[in-house]
Amino acid sequence: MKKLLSLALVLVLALSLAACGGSASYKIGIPNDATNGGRALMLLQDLGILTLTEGAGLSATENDIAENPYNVEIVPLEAANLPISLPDLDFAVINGNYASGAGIGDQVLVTEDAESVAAQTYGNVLCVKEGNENSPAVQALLAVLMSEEVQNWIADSYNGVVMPMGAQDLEIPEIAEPVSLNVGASPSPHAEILEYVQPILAEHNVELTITEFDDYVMPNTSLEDGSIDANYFQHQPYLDDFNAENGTHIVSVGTIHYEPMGVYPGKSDSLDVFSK
Amino acid sequence: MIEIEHLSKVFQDKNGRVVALEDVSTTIRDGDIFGIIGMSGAGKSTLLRCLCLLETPTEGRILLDGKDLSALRGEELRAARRRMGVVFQGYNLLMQKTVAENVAFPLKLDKYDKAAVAARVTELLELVGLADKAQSYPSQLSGGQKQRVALARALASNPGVLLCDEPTSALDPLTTQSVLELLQSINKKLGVTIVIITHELSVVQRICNRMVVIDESHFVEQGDTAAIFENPQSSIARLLLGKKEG
Amino acid sequence: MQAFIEEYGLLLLGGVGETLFMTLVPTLFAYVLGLPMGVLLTITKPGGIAAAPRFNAVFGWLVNILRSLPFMILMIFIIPLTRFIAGTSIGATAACVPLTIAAAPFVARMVEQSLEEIDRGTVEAARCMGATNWQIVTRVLLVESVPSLLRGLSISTITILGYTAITGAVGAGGLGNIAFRFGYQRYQKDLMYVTVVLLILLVCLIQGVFNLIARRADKRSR
Repeated sequence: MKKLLSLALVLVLALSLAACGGSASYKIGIPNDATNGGRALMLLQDLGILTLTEGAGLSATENDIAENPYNVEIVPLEAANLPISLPDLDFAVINGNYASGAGIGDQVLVTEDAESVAAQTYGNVLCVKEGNENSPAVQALLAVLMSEEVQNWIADSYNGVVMPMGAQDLEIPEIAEPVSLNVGASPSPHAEILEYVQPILAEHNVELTITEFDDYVMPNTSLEDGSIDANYFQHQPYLDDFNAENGTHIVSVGTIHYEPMGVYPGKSDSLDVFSK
Repeated sequence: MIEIEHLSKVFQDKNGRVVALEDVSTTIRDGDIFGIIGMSGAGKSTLLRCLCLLETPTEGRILLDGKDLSALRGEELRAARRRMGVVFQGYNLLMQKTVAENVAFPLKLDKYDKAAVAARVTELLELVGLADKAQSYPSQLSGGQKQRVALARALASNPGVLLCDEPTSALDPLTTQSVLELLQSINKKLGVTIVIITHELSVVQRICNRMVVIDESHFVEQGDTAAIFENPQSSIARLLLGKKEG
Repeated sequence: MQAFIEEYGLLLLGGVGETLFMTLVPTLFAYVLGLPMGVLLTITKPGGIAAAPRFNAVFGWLVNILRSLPFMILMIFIIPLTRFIAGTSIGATAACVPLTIAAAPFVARMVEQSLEEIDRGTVEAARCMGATNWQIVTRVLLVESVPSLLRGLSISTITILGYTAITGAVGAGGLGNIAFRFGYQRYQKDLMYVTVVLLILLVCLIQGVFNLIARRADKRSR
């Protein structure tokens, strides 16, 4: 009996000691969920830090790394935990909103650019229920959001955490009588952007009401049942998934901005270590 | 010699005061086999618990060879406890230890010599007739055997007094007989004073030379066993004896 | 089947190792902390051998508060402590810190329960024999409760194994993490099922081993 316990103790201590072996490679943290993990790896690939296997694409994981010349160790963590784990990592690839939420937005070293596959795919869209795409109020909102003034404002206001898709010259329809438009949005940055365009829309006879939502289901269900006229909080892949799962009929009328992932410094503060 | 002087014990619980013992006094002489008899709830167990210092008296004193037990603390208290052996109705042995380890328990509480302890354990087990059960576990023993182990353990540190709380109440008549005989022989051979709490009249009659009758927290009668059995003064004693003869 | 093992064999082996590591090490330290805590909870109760009702009440509340914290929150909360002890807040070794701290109060309550089961008479007999409180704790309470403590150990170990699934959030790996990230999120159902089966096997193994030890250690059933 005592012998068994001593044996167990030795085993456990041995395991502890074995785990204490450290490694000398660079540790880069990425989000551990399917959507963002793949994006993070693609960003690292774009920066030339590693190469993914053919066809891995946006659902890549750390097991799909084909070439790893700098012997980087990928550490998948809960996305929201990446900022707080920076002191234990060399770098981390973090979603813009989590970074700005943690107050480290301005430390970003590099972000996805607007042309990248990730930005194009994950741009945030303005949505309406199928059939309402051409409503004058919605078209007015879209035009204002895509105007140069507003797109520039987005670029200037968020320090790279929120980036415009690129200005488009869209026609703002003439609206004779004031119409109301109720748009559901996430608090940041979507509702803030809407607040900025609210006075502009008022000049064009559209009275914009902003309804804030804290979750990612209700803006769509409220749109589907007509409680709101439009929503602005999700990206296209999420919308496609939601329509498929829930049988809803929501369509996007335009992509307004994207929230890039960025590489943030941890124990190391420059990506120059990765230049050959 | 044990002197109980005007002992009272009152318990305070949420339902109020419970008087377990009220102003009881008696003397237990060296070498006595002293019986304390009464119905359930009369105060017998409380008296024993006061004697072995599990409870402190609310009033009065208990003197062991002239020393006031209730005034003792810490190391002195522990030393006094080791001069008394206690045998419980439920045996209270360590189920996870062997018979030998159980008997050795009190001897290992202080610094000890391994060989001396082993020798003493063997001696004690022979005394109670369980030498061959030294490596058995209590779960393998009968009630009577367990009581003998408890007895051996109680005698381990050579106490001057043995306190027994209903030692035979859970045993069959034959086993009771043998345990009582053992107690008698211990009293004769080792000169140990024995105090027995019981509700069985036959036990008192068989081995106690002196006795006390408790009824509702009072000592209602006390003296030589033979005298009381012949001529019970108190109503409860008469009742008990009347019950027996009837 | 062959292809499956080739592709995932190493991943799963690593996962088993990590899960075992994150189960056994925190269990050990949880008992190092929780056993004395449980003893304290028991002996300071009103009527206990070292009764201290106010201390007992406050300490009991502390234990309850620690137990009420959702594990995920606790993990994040104590990151500074984790860094201090393990040098980092990520990985399996680091995860052992919050696992230990979450498990210790649970263990304390299990130990308390085991000690409560001991017959009061046994403790009183020890007091009558002149044992000190320390001797009562080490030679009576912890001796008589061994079979019950071992059964509690079985329950505690498996509970901690369950917690390890959440440690994926701090990059700790393990089977639960593999099942969730690769099996569920990436729709690799076969991987998910295999991971679950491995976890079931681990649990059965741990339960079986501890129960066997408990039975053989119990001197009451001979």
